[in-house]
Amino acid sequence: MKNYTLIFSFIFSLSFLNGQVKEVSLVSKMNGQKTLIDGQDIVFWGYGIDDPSSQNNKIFLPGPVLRFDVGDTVIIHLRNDSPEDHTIHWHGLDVDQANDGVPHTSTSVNGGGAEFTYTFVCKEPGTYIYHCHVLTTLHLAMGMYGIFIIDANTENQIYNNSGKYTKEYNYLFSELNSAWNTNALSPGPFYLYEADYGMVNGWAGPEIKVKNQSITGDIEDSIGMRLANTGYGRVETIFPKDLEVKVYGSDGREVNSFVTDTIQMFPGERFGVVGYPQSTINDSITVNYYDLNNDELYFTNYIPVDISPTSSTISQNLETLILYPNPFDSQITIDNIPKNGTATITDLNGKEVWQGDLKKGQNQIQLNVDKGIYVLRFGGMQVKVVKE
Amino acid sequence: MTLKTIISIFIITFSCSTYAALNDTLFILKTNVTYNGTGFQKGVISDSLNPVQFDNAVLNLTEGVTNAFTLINTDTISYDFYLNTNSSLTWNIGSEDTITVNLPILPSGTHAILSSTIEGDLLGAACILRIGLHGDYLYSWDLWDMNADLSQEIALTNVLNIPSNYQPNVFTINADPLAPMDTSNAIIYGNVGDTIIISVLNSGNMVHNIHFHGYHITIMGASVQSDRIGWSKDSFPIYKNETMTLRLVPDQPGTYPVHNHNLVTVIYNNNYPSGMMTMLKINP
Ligand SMILES: [Cu+2]
Ligand SMILES: [Cu+2]
Repeated sequence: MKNYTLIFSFIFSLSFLNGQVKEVSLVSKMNGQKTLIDGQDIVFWGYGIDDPSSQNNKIFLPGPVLRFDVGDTVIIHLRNDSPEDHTIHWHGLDVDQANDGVPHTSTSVNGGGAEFTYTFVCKEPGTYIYHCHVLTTLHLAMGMYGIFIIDANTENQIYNNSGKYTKEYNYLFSELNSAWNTNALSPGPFYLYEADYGMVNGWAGPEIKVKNQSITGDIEDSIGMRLANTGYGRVETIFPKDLEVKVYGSDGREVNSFVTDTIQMFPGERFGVVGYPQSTINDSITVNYYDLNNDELYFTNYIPVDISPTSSTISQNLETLILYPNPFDSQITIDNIPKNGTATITDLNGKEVWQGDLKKGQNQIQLNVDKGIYVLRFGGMQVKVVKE
Repeated sequence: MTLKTIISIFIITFSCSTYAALNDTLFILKTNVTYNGTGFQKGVISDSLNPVQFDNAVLNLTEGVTNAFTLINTDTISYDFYLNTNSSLTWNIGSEDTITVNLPILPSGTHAILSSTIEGDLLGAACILRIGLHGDYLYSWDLWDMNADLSQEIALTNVLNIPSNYQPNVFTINADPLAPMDTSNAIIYGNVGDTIIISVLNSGNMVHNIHFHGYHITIMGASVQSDRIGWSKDSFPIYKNETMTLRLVPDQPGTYPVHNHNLVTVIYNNNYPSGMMTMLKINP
């Protein structure tokens, strides 16, 4: 009997402590440089990976994504390689007082190279934020923040019981008051803070697309999104009409799920949502940034959303698109065209080599191209053709 | 009927009537408050004619019964009031007048009497009503924001509404712009495992936000965000004129801040931490 109890409690403790011990070394600095989309050069403060060999100790805006599994015990070393004191507060992680990163109740990490090690267990899957808690009004606005993700016990799922996805995107929304970031040492009275720049993972305007923040997928994908607002204002995300968005949780806790087309995110809030494409989409998520003093809209960003037909839809349609001979020499016959329309043929680099109209029924086209593989597109269908 | 029965009926009737007809007298005050050399005008429904702290009164009322209290207006203007959870319930009080405020049976939770008179509205004269709330500890936070110069103009009845270029520099919890300090009645004391019920009112002029360190709370009630009742959150908004009821059951000991995460609000006289920040002090 005693042995059974022992074995049972051993198995229980194993399943409870399914996490691992993981270690990360961060550095805080105050010498970040960035050019805003209007050409303005600013200074930011922030965090980087403390790994001189690969990262050159650079800091980033926002700081590096910190990501662990539920149950993990994390050990995070902070080396403060800057002139002023900093800390890390683990926003939403409900860590104990000693690891809370608040100077007067926990510990400050002094400037000039002091070090501190934070240790805690990742209790609940979801989206969190980490940020400096020294003179927070200034230090957070200067860029000392990042996103912190805890993965659920099931793969490709935001929470333990809900939020399954096939593709995932994580967006940390933040803002800055460019006057502070150009003159951080004398920002003036704090109450005059006025954000004038909104970011998505540190990027704004056309950078969002260039820096690969766009959502891409096909209509069978489910798009998992972890959203966090670390600014001082309201961030409103408006989703494309044909992306049905379901909210599964907030602040690292599941809620009774519901469908919405807009999410209002107030300072420090996070949401876990999944978008289900209802059709092909060539649109964007509108991200509006509002000042809380007067509810004025002061900045808008767009996250492109590009949802294509599924590969299975393509192969289904291919069965009805009869094309011969394939490989071909100079003439192709295309049979069973369901309706009149325009077709294109491109090479594998996407360069168009032919365009023309096809009529319902059978069509013949002449094609004088180099040897190789080409793609014929018609309607939502596409098929590979090979020139010998 | 035995004497014993008559006495017990008398006791029951008597005890019920003391709950039903509240003997409280509250006072409408408008006064200049000074903290650390900075003065601002504050409107208040106080439980004292000469309060030490100009926080709005909090009434703990039994559920399922009607309630009443006496209201004395010490101001030279008249005030209109309404209930935030039922705006058809209104009261008017003339300048330097006295009225009885009769409250019908209200659903359990946190409600507030708010002013629709511009001075009362902008300067945050309000009264928090806690109906049938039970817990090991009951606390309340009244969040209010103002620009100190603007408040002087409001007190002179020169202002019709909050200007579009509003830049508040006074942020208070329970009328205290130094809410993180040990002197504040906003600080929450409790023990691990206790049920702590916190009533929150936003009597200010903009939306506010609350972030808890150390714990998630459960939203038990919210007069605007009814779709979020039952959610477990660590960061959330409270809209202007909204009342919320929060339940905190601490699962670890420690001292943790609670604050508005619009971090412009945790400043007073350019000092940090001040304003809309306070502390949780939880014993093992
Ligand atoms: Cu925070
Ligand atoms: Cu904080």
